[in-house]
Amino acid sequence: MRKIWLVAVSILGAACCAILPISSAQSPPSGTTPPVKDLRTEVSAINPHEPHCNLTKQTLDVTSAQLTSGLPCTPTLIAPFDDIVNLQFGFDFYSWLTFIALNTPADGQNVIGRGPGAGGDSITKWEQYKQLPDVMLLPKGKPPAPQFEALPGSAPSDVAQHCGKRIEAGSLVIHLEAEDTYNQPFKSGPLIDQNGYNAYFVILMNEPMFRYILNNNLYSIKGQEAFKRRNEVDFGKFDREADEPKHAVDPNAPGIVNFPNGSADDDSPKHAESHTIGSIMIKASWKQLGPSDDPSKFHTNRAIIYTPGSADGTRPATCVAKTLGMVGFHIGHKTNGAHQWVWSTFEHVNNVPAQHDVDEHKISGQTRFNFYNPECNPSNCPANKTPPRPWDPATQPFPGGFRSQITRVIPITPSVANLNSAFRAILTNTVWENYMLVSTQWPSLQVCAQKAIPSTLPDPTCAPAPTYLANTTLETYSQGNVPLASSSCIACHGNATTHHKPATPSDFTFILEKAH
Amino acid sequence: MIDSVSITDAPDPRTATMLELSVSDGPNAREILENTMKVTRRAALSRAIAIVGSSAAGSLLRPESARAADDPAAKARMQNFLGVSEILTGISQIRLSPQRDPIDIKTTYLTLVTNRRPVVFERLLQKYGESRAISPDPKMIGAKLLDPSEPKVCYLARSIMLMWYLGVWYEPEDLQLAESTGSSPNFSVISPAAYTQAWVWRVAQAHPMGYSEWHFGYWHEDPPFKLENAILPEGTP
Repeated sequence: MRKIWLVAVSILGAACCAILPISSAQSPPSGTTPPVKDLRTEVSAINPHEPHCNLTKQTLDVTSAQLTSGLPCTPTLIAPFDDIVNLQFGFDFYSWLTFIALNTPADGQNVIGRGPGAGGDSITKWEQYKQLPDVMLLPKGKPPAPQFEALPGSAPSDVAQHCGKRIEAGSLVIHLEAEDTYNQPFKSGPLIDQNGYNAYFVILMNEPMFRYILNNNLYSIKGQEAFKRRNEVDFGKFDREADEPKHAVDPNAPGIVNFPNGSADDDSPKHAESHTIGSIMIKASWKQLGPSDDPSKFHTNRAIIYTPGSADGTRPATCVAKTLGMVGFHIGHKTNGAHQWVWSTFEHVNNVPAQHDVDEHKISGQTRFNFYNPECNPSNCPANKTPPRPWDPATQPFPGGFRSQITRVIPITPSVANLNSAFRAILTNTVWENYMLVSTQWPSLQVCAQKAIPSTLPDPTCAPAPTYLANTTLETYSQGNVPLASSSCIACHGNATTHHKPATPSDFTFILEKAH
Repeated sequence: MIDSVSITDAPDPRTATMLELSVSDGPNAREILENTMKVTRRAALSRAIAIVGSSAAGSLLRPESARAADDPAAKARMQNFLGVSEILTGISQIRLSPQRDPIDIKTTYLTLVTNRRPVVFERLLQKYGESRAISPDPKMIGAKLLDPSEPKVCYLARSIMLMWYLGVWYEPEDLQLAESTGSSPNFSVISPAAYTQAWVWRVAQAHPMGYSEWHFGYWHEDPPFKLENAILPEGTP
């Protein structure tokens, strides 16, 4: 009884310190005590039952029916479950279904590649998701607009001031005031296309993920501090008897960042009610289309490039509309069978050649790549080198004529190549036939991956498969198979934290580190 | 069942027992671990430091792509190798070779041993088979494999043990020489993956220098798991 009382007090106390949501409907009248949140009810409210989960099982018989099968709530795998090759195929199949569902037109037309643009292109469903800066980069930790739909006024104030009237529905905003918009992870360097221009990167989140951040005030450092304090009264102590932190017994305990899961548990007695989409993060990479690029080969977005003014005031802020072509696409999806999330990554088919094909002189000089010049001698164009400094995104094209010379270090497996052929075949004559799956990383230890609090496990990453995975446009300079140094979605995101001090694990997303 | 584990330093790092296990009713494999784990924490750490310095140059193998599962004879050979390894390390086969094993370090190790010591390794597997036919008692099997009257097999067994625990390869002759002369045996890092998969770290509830799978801030928390959760099959009471 005392335990319950302490928790209630801690929640009430934290609420006093937290920044309240801006919706007046959620704010208690002055002088009254806000109700204690029932976290489970809250989770179900922000991650509601999804009646149309795509439960298509993996098959080599890929047909056009897959084009309208919808968004998977979770991978639907088939036996043998001890065969890692079979399971990898299942996850890769799920990745393609997810890619198709997310890239269907946002306007209600439910078939990918049937939009009004060249190659049936259109603004996609995921481009209606919430952009990271609209949630995490608002001045003074201000709460984001509670509407999920993107609104020009919800952008950070300086961007809204300069660009607000130019931002159209579905337009992405390239926030060059944020370094990770033009620089690779760990600030390892920008990626320069064959026209000499920077590639850009955007991060978005779906509604369950956004609602979780909003409802728990995780968009600001103060909100994160309050969220953490809720945890410290009764859950934070280590329980030697159970040999795990007390909070591990309840993943919905206050203070533990635990984003909603996707679920399609048909074994549950209430399986019809247990289908949920869960949290989805998107990170997409783009190139600026030039005169030598064929826009009909790319999914495009008429984006707004916001460049802040220089610190000395000599260069004013600018806001320019440009047509960008998508060259890379990450999907992170948290599911109840993969608390380390499932990580799918796609690329434009003409991004780069495989290094082994370069080594074996299989690349024709006539082939045009987005980030590789086959006619440049390796001594003049060493592969996968970062550009010389400085890396000022406001100076374009990149000074000195530098172009990135990128190759794919880990080749695409034959299984994925076959699957790509099958799915690209049903996307023929659409812009989407120009994209391919690189691979899908998933936690391979089944029981381990189902634990709600991975941090209490001997290996909280649960043995990611494949061990390393990189997109040549998004982890360009960390390709390979060197532990720690080479890109692994789960191993890297396992280090993600909140932004308050002391920071705490943020459930495999770096989004919460952006709070201020 | 292991009740507790304590780590002690010892005057001679090559011969002292590192792990003092408090065993109530556990399988005899735990006793084998207690008797055969001959490395101190200090020695392990000093070796790890040396490994960091030599990791890139010390790789002995290229990745092995052949999968034992596709060939019944190779599968049986792998099973025997894992059986030997379980006896020598005290770590459950299901932990050494998870049902889903994307890193597949066992294939790297089996390939290395087969290539390095083909004849003696065959003899080791033969002794394992013969011993197991007489008795399934892991303590008895372990004693046979480490029987000093057949030193080539004995020291190869110790090399295999050290390979699993440290992710490095000691030539059996070097181990034998080191024991007789007191010198420090040479070693080579098997691969970057072997460096991260060395079992000494999980047994010690630690991680190799420069690589950790644990979350930010773990260093100010108690170790997140019990030893048996790392080395025994999942669900073992």
